[in-house]
Amino acid sequence: MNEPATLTEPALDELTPPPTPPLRRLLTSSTATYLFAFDLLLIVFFSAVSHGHVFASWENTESMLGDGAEGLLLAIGLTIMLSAGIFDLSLGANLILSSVAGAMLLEHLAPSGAQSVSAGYAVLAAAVCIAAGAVFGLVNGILVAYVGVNSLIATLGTLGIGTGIALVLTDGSDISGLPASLQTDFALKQILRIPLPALIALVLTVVLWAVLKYTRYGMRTLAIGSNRAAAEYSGLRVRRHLVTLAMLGGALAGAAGFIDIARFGSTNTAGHTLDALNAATAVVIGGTALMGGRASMFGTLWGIVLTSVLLDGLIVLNVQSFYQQIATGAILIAAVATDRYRALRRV
Amino acid sequence: MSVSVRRRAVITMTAAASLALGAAACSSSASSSTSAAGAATSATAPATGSTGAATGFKLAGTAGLASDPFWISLMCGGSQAAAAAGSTITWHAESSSGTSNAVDEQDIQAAGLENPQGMVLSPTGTESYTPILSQFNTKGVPVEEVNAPSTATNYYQAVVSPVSDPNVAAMAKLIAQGAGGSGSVAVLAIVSGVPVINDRWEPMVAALKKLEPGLSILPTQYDSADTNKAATIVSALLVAHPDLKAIWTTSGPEGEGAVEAVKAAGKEGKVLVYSFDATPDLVTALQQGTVAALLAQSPYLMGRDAVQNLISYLKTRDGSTTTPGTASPQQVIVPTMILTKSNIDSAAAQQYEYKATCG
Repeated sequence: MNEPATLTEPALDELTPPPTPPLRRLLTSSTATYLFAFDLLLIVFFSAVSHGHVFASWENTESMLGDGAEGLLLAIGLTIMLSAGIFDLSLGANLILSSVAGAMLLEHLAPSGAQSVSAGYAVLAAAVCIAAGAVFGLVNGILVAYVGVNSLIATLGTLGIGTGIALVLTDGSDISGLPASLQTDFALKQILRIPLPALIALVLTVVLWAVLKYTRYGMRTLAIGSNRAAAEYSGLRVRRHLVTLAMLGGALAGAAGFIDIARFGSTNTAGHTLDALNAATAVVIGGTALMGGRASMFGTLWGIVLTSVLLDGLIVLNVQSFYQQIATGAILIAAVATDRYRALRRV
Repeated sequence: MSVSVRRRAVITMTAAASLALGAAACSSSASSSTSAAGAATSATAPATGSTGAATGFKLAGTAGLASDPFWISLMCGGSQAAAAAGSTITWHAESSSGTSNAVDEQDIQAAGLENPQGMVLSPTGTESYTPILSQFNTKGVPVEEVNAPSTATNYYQAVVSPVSDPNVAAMAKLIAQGAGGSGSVAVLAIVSGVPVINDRWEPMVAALKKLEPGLSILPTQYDSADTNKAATIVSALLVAHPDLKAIWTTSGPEGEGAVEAVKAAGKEGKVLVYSFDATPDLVTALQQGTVAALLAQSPYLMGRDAVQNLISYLKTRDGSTTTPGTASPQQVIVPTMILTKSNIDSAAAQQYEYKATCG
């Protein structure tokens, strides 16, 4: 036969790697999706192992939602600030100071010992909390953007100043005895069996996700975080943008402050010391870069879910308090380490 | 020694924050209430005209956290007692939280710089302060200890809460009755490893186990004085233990967090919250019926008795050469009180509520 000699090279099909199965592709596509899968795994584990599977009960989910609302608000605020490279350590102090502002107004409006307050006054108090948070954020923003102090240091400073001002305003203790109607009509109220504060936090998460992904504001935020000099050269008003971001994060902390006084009927000036750190944990685990330029709002959400599920699950399983800390640390490391492995192996 | 000292050992995340607060406070460490009648040493007549003590005495004192209602009440009791006797007392307290020997020593030394005639010491650390006390004693300055029984012999006297408190057993009985004799009891504390905080729940757990073996006492959980974390912990406990009947908490934030979680789970009236302390927020909760009972010390009475006894001693020994603190310190016990909704408005209860402002 007169066939031309063919080189024995493999067919083109055999050179390219086989297509990744769709499930694996989904799981490895992003940190957020991966974290969601990790969370599901944890939830399944806790549900299976808990006595009577109580972890899987709706009551438990309601509690976790209600308890996680404040943390989620702080974390999404931190996410959007971190996108532009602002690291905010003062979130807890902001929450406290805003809650004190709102509590002082309520003390003024509602006669002492009043159990209920009108809806109008409640909304006013919420507005004051949010406004106080925004002002706090404004101070942070000016320090970072215009004075040029590194955000870590600036917010470390405002952390102390904010806490101190709160203590001065409350004469050192907490403002308590706030109207119980705030608790019954807002903090403990449920819509479709989801606690209202959690619903608000979830809605805001989706809103901010959309802002980051689809709006020019979001794009500019990421641009600033990614390369500040380039953003300035390309004409963006970087400093003003940073201030608005800080105010946004501050307003969210203010909202968390209002939820705090609504839930407990009192401020908590001695608490919230780890709030900023917990928010940062969730944000970083979720895939947002500490340096800025890359953010994942849903990653943050699943990060908060992770920490909430962990804390709740370990207690439900009756794990002793000291072992809880070990377990939490180990699982956090596991979550991030396997995510790194995934990212490196991504095809 | 079992101590019923009330203090929040809050874990502060950033040392820098406390440094900043501390630096500001150190410059104004006398920020806490000094008696308004401070200057009136010779203007007001003394209570009794004893040997040479025609004028009042100049005293100095140390306390824990200047912003905490417990310490505010203690300083208030002391200052009012001093004013009533025509004396003055200057307090040195901390403005950032945390108990430490170093902080105590700073306060003591600051107080010593004023050359007081008598000292009131409320240690928050674990040291015995013997060398420092010796310095005061050689100068003839008696030191009255408040709120922390000590084996040191250099104190003239120690004014304390009962070491083995019969009210703990009484409160345990209340809890057991409220629980109906069976079910679980949860314990919520601030942090682990701090003796003064352990003393707020360990005796209670022991008493409950002894009194009602049918109750199952759950392992203690810690919330770092954060109401949100307290609520999260209690929510989880409510889910995990459907037979949970009572929660014992060691201070205000734990109590408030527990109350919120119980309400959120719709278990008001089925799960009762009891607490140590009578901070303003806990007292409000008691009046509203969300907390069942409180076990309260009386920092006001402790401060008052400490200063009164010190002044009496100074008056009687004036002119003598007795060196104070050479004998074992006497202990003056100020009892605790169980506050319930029915007695909270009584005159006796007023001295047991921790006030956020003096007067």
